[in-house]
Amino acid sequence: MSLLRAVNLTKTFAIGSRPVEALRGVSIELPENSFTFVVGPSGSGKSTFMHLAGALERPTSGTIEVAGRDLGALSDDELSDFRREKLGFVFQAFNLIPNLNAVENVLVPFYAKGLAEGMREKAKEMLKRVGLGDRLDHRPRQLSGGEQQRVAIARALLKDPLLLLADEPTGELDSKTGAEIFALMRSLHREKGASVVVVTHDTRYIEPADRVIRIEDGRIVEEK
Amino acid sequence: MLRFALLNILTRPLRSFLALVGVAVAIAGVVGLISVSSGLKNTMTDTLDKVEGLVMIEANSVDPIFSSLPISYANRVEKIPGVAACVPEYWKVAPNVEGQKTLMGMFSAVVVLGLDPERHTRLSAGHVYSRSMKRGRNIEGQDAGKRRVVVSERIAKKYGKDVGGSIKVGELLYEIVGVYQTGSLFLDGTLVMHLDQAWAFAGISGKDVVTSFYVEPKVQSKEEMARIEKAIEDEFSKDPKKVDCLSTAEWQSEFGKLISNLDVFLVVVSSIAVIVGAIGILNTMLMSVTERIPEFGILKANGWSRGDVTRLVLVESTYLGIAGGLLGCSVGVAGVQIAARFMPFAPATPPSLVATAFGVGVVLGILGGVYPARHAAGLSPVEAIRAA
Ligand SMILES: Nc1ncnc2c1ncn2[C@@H]1O[C@H](COP(=O)(O)OP(=O)(O)OP(=O)(O)O)[C@@H](O)[C@H]1O
Ligand SMILES: [Mg+2]
Repeated sequence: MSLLRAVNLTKTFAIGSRPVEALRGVSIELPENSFTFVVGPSGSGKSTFMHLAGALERPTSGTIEVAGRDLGALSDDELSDFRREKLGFVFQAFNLIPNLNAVENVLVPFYAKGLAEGMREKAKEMLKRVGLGDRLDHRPRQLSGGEQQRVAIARALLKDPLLLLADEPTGELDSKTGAEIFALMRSLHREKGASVVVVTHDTRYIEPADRVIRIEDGRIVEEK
Repeated sequence: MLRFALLNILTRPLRSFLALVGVAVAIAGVVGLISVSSGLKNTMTDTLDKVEGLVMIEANSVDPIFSSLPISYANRVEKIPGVAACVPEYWKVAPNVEGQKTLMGMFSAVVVLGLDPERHTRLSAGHVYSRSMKRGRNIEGQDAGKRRVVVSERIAKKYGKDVGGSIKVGELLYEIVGVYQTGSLFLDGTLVMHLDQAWAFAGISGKDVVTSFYVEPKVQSKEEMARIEKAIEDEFSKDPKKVDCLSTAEWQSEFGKLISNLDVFLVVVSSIAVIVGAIGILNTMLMSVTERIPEFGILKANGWSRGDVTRLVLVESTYLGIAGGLLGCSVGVAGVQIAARFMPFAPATPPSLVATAFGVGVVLGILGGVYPARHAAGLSPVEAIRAA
């Protein structure tokens, strides 16, 4: 069964009277337990695609299914639940709540609904796994950019996500730190069986088994 | 989430503090105003409860102080069926006691009341002052021609006097023979003396003019009072000096008007205070929400629903309301207590007032948070995060 299936996906933004077609009919299928790179020039629609896959926005037309669920058919609240339970996000820069420390940021998806027993311990464990065992009660501004990204990965790890969506997660990091972040995403992929979709300009980290989607001007121009 | 909300409030301590001060000022003001006004109302009703009969004064003179009637009217009134007794009174303002001016403060005024003790024995319930003696004795027949007074506890305290001492009223020295206390703000400003001494004090030589009469009906009822009132007014309708009778009920309706004006005033002031408090919270929460837009994006991307975000912001603003309510109630109650030392009557702060005021603070918090909460909840996660 495929993890993600998009059929003829379009997304149009209306800026004033002139519509911007960010996606112009994207169809794609990603199998379970896949590691996918989304590449392409700036403004081509990569982030837009990721937002639709992550149930953060709704498509203008077309359908998108994740884990067999038609996202277009779900209510806003159901989409929230879906994101909390099944998805992990790592954005380029702003990932964490400034007022909360590392452990609390890992727990943030479950704050609103109440924490299950043992979750706090598990959150600490995840932070240790991403190498932040000695930064548990640091606030985001006391953490480096790479460390902040690791907290976001630990947050995704906590819930055994079906799908980790990362939008230029290494965009603001040096290459050594960037390599560490990719290594962490790889281990999440291998050990937990999570699928990963990562939007990046960094093609160095592509491995032979990975899928690569190239988007240009709102369309998929190459897929391997 | 409660802890998270608290954290968000505490991160901007100054701003949160200012918002809750806004609420607190509103609440404290409302508590203070209502306490003082209900204290005042209590005093007024106390006064009215203590005077049961009719007061007869010269027509159109508004107050006994400005009235003047022949003393012989008393006998004519006593002939009217249903009248138990009619006793003359002579009222005169005492602008200077112990060398101090008395007209400066609203409640520090002192008036002299001259009574005829012999006539007073005819009152079945007695006079309000004779019923309220605390120490010493009443003015009696033997006090005719003697400079003797009965003073209120308030006056005794204020001028540091007591039974056996003497008090200077105007230019004359009077011996204090008794101390009374009615508990009424308005009645307790009176110096009671023998009628002939009041005349002497006022500087009139003739013994045939008084300012007013106190009329006691045989039966205490509204209808009977109204009937007697009418009968008295009719009795003197052909005389050159006509009279007005004021019953407790009439005073009551006068006070009633005053009180309802006071209530309207209170409602207006309180509403303004409450609106200002709500705007303070609204403003603070809007600023806070606007600053934290990317945070709400992160929360929503991580599975927080509209409802969750709404609740977070509402909890934050409710915290402000609770803190403002607590601070406002404490400051209000403390302020009333301090102010009470300088006021001649006791302000009334019932627990229900404090509870209501606190409740208003909480409601203010919730109301002030509604719009910011909806704003935060309606954000698109993508656009919110992009705003970082
Ligand atoms: N909210 C929006 N409103 C209007 N236009 C938008 C919006 N989001 C994206 N666009 C437009 O859609 C197009 C695709 O944007 P998108 O962010 O998906 O590009 P991208 O491939 O991620 O680019 P980059 O590599 O620079 O991040 C761009 O032309 C962009 O200006
Ligand atoms: Mg992008």
